[in-house]
Amino acid sequence: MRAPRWARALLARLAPEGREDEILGDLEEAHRARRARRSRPLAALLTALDTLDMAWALLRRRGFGGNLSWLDFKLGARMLLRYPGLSVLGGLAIAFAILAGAGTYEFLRQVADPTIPFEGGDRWVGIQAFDTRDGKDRDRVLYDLETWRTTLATVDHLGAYTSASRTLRVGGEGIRQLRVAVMQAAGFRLAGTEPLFGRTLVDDDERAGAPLVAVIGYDVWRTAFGSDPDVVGTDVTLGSERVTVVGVMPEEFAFPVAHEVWLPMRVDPGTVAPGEGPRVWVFGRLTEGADLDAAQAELERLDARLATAFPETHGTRRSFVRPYALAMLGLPGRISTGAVSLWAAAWNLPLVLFLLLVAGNVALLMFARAAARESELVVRSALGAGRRRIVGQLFAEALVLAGVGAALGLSLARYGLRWGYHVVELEIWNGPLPFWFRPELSISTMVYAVGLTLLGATVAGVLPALKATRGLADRLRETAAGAGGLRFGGVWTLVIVVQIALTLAFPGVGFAVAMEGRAIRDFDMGIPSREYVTARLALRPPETDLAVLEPATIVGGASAPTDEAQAYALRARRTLAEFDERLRADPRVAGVAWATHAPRHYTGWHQIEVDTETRPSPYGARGHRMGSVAVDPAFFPTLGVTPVAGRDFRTADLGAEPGVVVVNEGFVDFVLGGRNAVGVNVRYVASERVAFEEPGPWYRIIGVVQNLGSMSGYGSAVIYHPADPRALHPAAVVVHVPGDAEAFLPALGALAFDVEPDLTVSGPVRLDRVKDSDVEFYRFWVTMLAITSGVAVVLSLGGIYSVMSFTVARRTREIGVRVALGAPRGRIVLAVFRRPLIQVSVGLLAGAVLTGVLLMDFGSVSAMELAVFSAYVAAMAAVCMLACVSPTRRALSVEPSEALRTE
Amino acid sequence: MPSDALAEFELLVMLAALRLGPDEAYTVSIADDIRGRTGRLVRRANVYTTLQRLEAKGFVASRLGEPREERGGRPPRLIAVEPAGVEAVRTTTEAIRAMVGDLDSMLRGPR
Repeated sequence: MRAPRWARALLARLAPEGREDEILGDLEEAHRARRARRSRPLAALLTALDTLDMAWALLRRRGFGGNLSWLDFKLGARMLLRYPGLSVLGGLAIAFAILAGAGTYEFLRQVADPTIPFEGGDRWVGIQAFDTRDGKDRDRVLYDLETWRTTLATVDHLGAYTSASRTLRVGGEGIRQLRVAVMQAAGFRLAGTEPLFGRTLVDDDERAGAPLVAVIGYDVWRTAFGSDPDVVGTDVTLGSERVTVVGVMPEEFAFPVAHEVWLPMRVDPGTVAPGEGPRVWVFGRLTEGADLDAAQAELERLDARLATAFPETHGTRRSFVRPYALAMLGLPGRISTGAVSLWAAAWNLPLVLFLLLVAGNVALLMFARAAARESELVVRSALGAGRRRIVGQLFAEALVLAGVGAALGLSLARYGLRWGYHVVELEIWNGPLPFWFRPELSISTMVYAVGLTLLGATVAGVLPALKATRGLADRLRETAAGAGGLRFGGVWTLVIVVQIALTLAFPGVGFAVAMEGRAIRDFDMGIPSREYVTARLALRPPETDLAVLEPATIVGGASAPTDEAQAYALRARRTLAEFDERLRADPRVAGVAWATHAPRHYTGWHQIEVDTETRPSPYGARGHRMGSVAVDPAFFPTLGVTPVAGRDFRTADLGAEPGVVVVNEGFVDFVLGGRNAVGVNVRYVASERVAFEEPGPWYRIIGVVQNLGSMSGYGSAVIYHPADPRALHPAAVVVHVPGDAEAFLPALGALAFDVEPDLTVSGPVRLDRVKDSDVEFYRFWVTMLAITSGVAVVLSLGGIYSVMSFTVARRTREIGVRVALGAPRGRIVLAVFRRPLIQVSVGLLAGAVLTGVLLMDFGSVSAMELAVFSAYVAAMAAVCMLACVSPTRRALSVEPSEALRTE
Repeated sequence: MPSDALAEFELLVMLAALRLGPDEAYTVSIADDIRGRTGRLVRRANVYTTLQRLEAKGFVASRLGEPREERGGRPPRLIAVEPAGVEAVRTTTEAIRAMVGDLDSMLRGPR
């Protein structure tokens, strides 16, 4: 029922000092009255118009807008109705440009400088530390946290948390992985949010020997506990622990990032040595009057003291404080906050350029319209209207057009953001975004959008106006003599060429992206992939080390494991062995195989060299890049894959010296140019995760298998190593379920829970659907490119049509004379066509070159793709020429007598 | 036209303010009153700027009223017409009456 947030924010910002209450009250009252009388969308539209009107009035009172009057805008609105083609074309184009610009700005703002929706959230900070020797973060800082807590005067409410995952059984085979914050009670004090039921965590919960308790989030309460109002006091099993639910948090509470259950951090900081203890994230709040600089200075003084006291752990360590959201996003410590702001600002630049381009195109249409109204402008000038006045009028017209476009774009921005966030969650973040990401436009984004609108209106209105009003007095004389008039100069030719080029390039890239997405969707593994399911399994690490587990590495050395790590690894292997055994016992299961990465999953890249001649590597002398996967000897038989050359693994290959490997057909094509791979030796020289001081040992290739779609980011080549399935952890399991594989998925989680509640199953999916989120991601980009292309095509056609119409109108007399003198129709057509023909040709050529450059990263282009693209070029040329048909027909139907009477 | 004469819209605003009285005249109610009586589309921003102009001329005075629920708990700025304003309304309406004169019957004719 309340007036829209953006309207309130806009008027609050523009209201004169002391008048905010009355202006916002007026807005609220008027909006409520409208809502009572009219439908919701209509009321919203009227309030939007009313707000913009009021905002303009307030701006005018501040001296903004010069000699522009309301009448100018009224005339502008009338022009919109009088030239509906231009209005629809220009309005939609600007709407899309504003939608993209404001949406991107809002997203980047929420990354770099978001609003934390808690009281005092603008003073929330995170403290991080990194080592200046290797630039890596040092996050075992519980000891430091105690020092900070007792010493820092500029930061209070200091606390720590670490993220974890726990399994909760929700009936039958239902298993839910919960995002848990193992957190100090200080977190709830910082947030200051009252629980819906029960209580939050308190300091006493962290005491050793205190009953283990949990606070659950609203969604967990609703879905896993059926909104039971008596949930407080219930005992539940989270992973392997029995905990008592002591509170339920309200909806949307996801502090510290995107968490849904909170457990107390039961680590006594007094017992933690410097540089020891669990890895944690530290949060806090700047005290009243303190700022980041003061907090940083204080932190550095403390760093110096700690460096003296603990030279081994703190000698080269540096702590720093930064805004909460940036700290919690996990930005590496060595990247400064300023660099992030710069990065965010830089990413806005392409969108501003896009808006300028769109506005430039609209300017072309506006110029054509101004040219058609030339006599009106000349008369107005003759009647005493100064150039400034006429330019102001044309600017007002463009501003009305841009304003309508902006209103449309902004009203859609919310949906655009929601969609964009959905894609980011699926494909980039792999889970719900932090709580401060909301698909809503902030005040600063609204102001930015107003800035974009003014910029767009200036380009679309003022530039053509300046051009159209240049030398008006001379033109008045020329017009009286029946000569002269406006001309389309080089700038407009350039605009048309650029837009035709983009008309070609955007769909070209879109087509390539669509093809790539389609190739991923339709990739044929050569096996009945619908009969397989896969998931990743890992045993929750010990509480003292809540680090995110790294996937097992095949190559490169690892540091000597501690006793605790060895014990954990042993327990993990036993757990997976039991899981394997019970899985095989299920009558629905026809086979089980293990690997470090399941087919079609990202493997990271590894760079190799071989002992024979290869195709040139695109990555320099250090060799080709590819994926590397360790698989158990039963892997290929379970998948029904038979080698296309040589043989696959046997148990005897485990630990063989020298080691043996199997490669895929991608390797054969990519590295050896199709030559026989069996017997070739290969070794690693670099990899994404491990640094190599010298090349690793040689491995002999014993067989070649078909491509199974594993991804390294560098083509399809993959090397497979034999591995003892009992040595793989964390590991990917591939299960052959000949019946309904999809229906088997919940059983994986349930079985894991039965074997060991701390055994987590992530990403369970049927093998043919592994890439569904990627396909969604591609769909997003293809849609964006399709809309952009649509805008470009429509603007191009509009521009060409305008130029042609204008040319014919301007040359009516000349054409009439030529017809009267008996000139052949072909010559007349050529005379009219010549200029747009050149423009279209140059534009298409530039577009083809631009597309080629943009597509360099997409690898080779197939003959089919080339044919489709060529057909599109031809179609575009035909469509551009179609825009010339109507004006040309008009030119040919000019009656000589009529033409000689004009002017 | 004398300097204290009112433009057409200013006159409408003054008349509405006079009718509504010092406890009920504010931007929204004035706009509603004009719209209700004349059927004209009245822009709130226009009323707001006109009231500011009239206040600057000394024709009206304003004060903040009490917060109201229908305004989201915010107060209206109430408008009271000053004696100079009453005089300006009188001058303007007299001028209009003088001009209408014996055209009255013609202007009442069928439209």
